[in-house]
Amino acid sequence: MSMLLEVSNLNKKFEGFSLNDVSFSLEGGYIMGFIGENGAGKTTTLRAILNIIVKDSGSIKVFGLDHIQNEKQIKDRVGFISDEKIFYEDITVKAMKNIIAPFYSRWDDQLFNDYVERFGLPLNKKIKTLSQGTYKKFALAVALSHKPELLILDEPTANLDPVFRTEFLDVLHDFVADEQHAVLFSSHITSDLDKIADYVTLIHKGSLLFSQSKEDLFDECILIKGGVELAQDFRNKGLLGVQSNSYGSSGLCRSKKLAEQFQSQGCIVEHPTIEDIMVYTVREGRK
Amino acid sequence: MSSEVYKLIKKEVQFTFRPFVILFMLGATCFIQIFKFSMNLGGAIVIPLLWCWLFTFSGTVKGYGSKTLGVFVAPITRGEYVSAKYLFSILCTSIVFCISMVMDIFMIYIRDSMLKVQVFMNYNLEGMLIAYPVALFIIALVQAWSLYQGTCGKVDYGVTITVPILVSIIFMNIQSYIFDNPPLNFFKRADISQKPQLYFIVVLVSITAAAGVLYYSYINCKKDFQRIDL
Repeated sequence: MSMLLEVSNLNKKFEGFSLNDVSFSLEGGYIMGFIGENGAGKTTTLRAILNIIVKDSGSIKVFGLDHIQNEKQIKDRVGFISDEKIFYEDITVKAMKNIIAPFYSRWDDQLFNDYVERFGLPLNKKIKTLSQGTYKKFALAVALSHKPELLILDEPTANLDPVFRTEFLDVLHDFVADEQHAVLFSSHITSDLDKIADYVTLIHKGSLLFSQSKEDLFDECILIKGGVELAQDFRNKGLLGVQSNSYGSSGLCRSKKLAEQFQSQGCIVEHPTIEDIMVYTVREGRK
Repeated sequence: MSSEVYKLIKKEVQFTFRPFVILFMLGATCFIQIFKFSMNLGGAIVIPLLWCWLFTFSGTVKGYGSKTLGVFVAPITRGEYVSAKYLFSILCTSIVFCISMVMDIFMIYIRDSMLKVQVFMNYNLEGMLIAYPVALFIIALVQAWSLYQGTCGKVDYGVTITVPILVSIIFMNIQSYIFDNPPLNFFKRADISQKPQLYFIVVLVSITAAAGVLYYSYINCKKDFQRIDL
């Protein structure tokens, strides 16, 4: 398997926000979930990869190529879905396709038509009349029709109904099946990542908190729940994001041994979801 | 010209020359031509006409500024994008310029024929010969602004509207001052046969200035585009 994406020490400064030394990598055959709060730097990172945002420093390699020197070559092989509406709204779906298609060397009209049929896209409707879900379907059809090797998706499942979301995840599964393709997938709907992500990368306030395989993450992280009186004990022993309310307290533990100790004290030990891991880790990061 | 630049220009043409834009332009042209014809005005009035058309274009260009991402994620570099935008802008201006000139000559010819006067060569065409190079310079300025706001979004409509009007008025007054003497005589026609050297100076300076403005704005827009985040 080849390395499709390598981000090293990526820095970008805006007024009131900065990305600080963000580094992660993604191999072919895998789906990476890219998570974080609103304004954490997910979109900035994804756009910097495509040189839509100009980085201040750091190195980004896509397919082993520098992302600025080989910008066109890389964009030709990358499918992108933005979290914003990025297509001209006063023209029809078909007209927009006709504008975009000629730029890609491997655009496949038949493939696009297959997706149009599969997603039920109205070719002759103006883009501004599409519902948000249909707009996303169109964006996905465009992103896939030029046979990309890497998909970069920014909140692709937002506004999709559960039926299509499931279908969408199936499409991604099929996409990476040959181990030559990969997906970088930012999402707030972490249940989607629970289902399909192989790797999870968490960014908070512009800094990377972790980037590791979901398997390792689930193996390492344990959710501990106990009585209100245990909150301080949780904090003292280094549990992450400890919260306490009238019903009890809880925290994220990254040590099996410690988890066993708490279990022996009568605490409830649970496997966290990605959402739990994100919430507790971010809460810890806010301190 | 790379094939990507050509494709981008094609895209801009597809997007810009839509029925409502063409109708707006035809409407504006007819209105101004009727106004000109009924007021017996010379070629100098072409400047507001060109400005009117250009405003439509600059509005379209501005619209593009915030909606470039869909195309920009395609295999295109920033340099290609700004080159295409610039060339398209100049292409549109050239079209507008040529159509306006032809329409002007046609309308004046009709008017003179109807009025049975032989003043065509003596007044209007000469007035136009001065007005057009001056208009070219003004267009270059508008072009620079529209491109600048299209790529960078730093200049608002207020400036886009005000500056070309002010520049038009100033230039037209300079023109009437040089050729007709009474200053602030906005619609007075020029008679260049009296001062041919001045005419050539005006034409030369206008065209040189227009070329300079266009080149300078291109270089600056390109630099800006390298810096900005879409």
